[in-house]
Amino acid sequence: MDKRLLELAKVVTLPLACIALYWVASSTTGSVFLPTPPEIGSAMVEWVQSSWQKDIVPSIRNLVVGYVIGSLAGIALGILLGRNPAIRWIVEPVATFVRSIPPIALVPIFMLSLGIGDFMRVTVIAVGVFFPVLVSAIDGAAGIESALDDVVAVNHISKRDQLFDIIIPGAMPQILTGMKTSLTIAIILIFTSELLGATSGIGAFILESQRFFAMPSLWAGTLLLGLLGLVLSWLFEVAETRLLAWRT
Amino acid sequence: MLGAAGFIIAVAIWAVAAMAMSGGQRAFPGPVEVAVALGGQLGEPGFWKLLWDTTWLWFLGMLAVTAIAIPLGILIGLNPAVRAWTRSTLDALRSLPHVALIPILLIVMGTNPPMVISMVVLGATWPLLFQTIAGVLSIDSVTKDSARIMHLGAWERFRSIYIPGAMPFVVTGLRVAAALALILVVVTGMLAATPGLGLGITQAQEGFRTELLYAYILVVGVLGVGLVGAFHLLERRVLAWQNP
Repeated sequence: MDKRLLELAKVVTLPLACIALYWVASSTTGSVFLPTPPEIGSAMVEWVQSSWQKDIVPSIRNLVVGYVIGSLAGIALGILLGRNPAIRWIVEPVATFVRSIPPIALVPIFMLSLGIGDFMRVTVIAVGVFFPVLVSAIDGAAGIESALDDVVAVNHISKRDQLFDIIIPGAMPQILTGMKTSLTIAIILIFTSELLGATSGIGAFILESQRFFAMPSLWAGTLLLGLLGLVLSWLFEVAETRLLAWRT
Repeated sequence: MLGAAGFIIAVAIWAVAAMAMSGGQRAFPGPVEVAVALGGQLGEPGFWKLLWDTTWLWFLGMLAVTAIAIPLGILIGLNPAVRAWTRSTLDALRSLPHVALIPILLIVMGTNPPMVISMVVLGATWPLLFQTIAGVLSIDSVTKDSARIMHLGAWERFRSIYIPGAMPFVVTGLRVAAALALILVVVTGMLAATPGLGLGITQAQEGFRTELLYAYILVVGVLGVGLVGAFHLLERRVLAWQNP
């Protein structure tokens, strides 16, 4: 057999087998809890066609805005702290503590102080993204070889060049690890920030389907969120390989 | 010492912000109100019940995760063919937003401990599974070959070669899974009203008892730091023989 075909078979066989197994199980049991793939598919098509503007666009917009703000803030502060041991020793334990609180548990706090709306959702996502990126950026910036500081001193490299040519690239692997963790958190947060008191969005659609026991819609909404997670983490990996290509 | 200073500064900032922003409103309680609420809770049996429910469900979830991820990880780690054919599926399952499954699980299983444990298994198995696979791959082939030459039985190989060999990776996986499992127990409580601190958080929010809400969230944070800290100690203990 062709080698490339075999590789393809290794990738697709088990997922297809799982889908087939689910298909058989759902159509033979006829359980209302397990809608068949065609039922889920038509619920998804109908939903996406009718509510694309209302549910999907705002969710993805909140995700992107919150993710970018949270990541940039985490990187900036993380590099600042990672290069200043004294401040770092003061801030790091607090950051580690806050990080151990599930970001979803912060949703009620933001709801009570910011109200329910897109501003609250973007803030929740940005804060949830911020802490993992912060902690990993501190690690990355603090771990840069001290020999490079000597190179900087000897060659009179400007602060600006030092930041963009040495510190940011040096801390990049850890920063990207943190941003990857944050990506999953961000997707979970668009969902949870909408579960609690929203009228539009992917999470709101899932909640509404759950309330009305609309199982095909419930599965369709959940599946869309899962697909969003898969596509974004795949895009992230492509970008990661590009950004770290200089290392090898 | 500097860490303690950091906490004092953070609490001070919190106190000033709360005074400046809320000015008597209850939406943003300061550290004193929250400390009073937390102190009051320590005398309430209801609070200890919430804490106990969360910890107990976390423990049961971790048992299930360990029982599934370690044997499966050893199996996958030992068989290159299984590894090649399952890789795409495991990668996909790992990167799903697992919390999104709570509404489906709630309808299918209802609000009960098995539902919480299922949620923990669905979300927290992956780090331990992937670490166990990496751990088995890290065992050098000489050790594996020697075990074969000495005709060690399957159980004997499992007990004295694979488990200790993979252990350094497994303890790291356990620590990550422990943190995730706690998050999942709390979040399932918040979204599906299963017993524990998550339910407490939702009830405090719905009753506008903000100082109680903050207190519960702090307790979750402390519990998380404690559990992860315990696994850090375990990790150090397990790895002690490696680099004396």
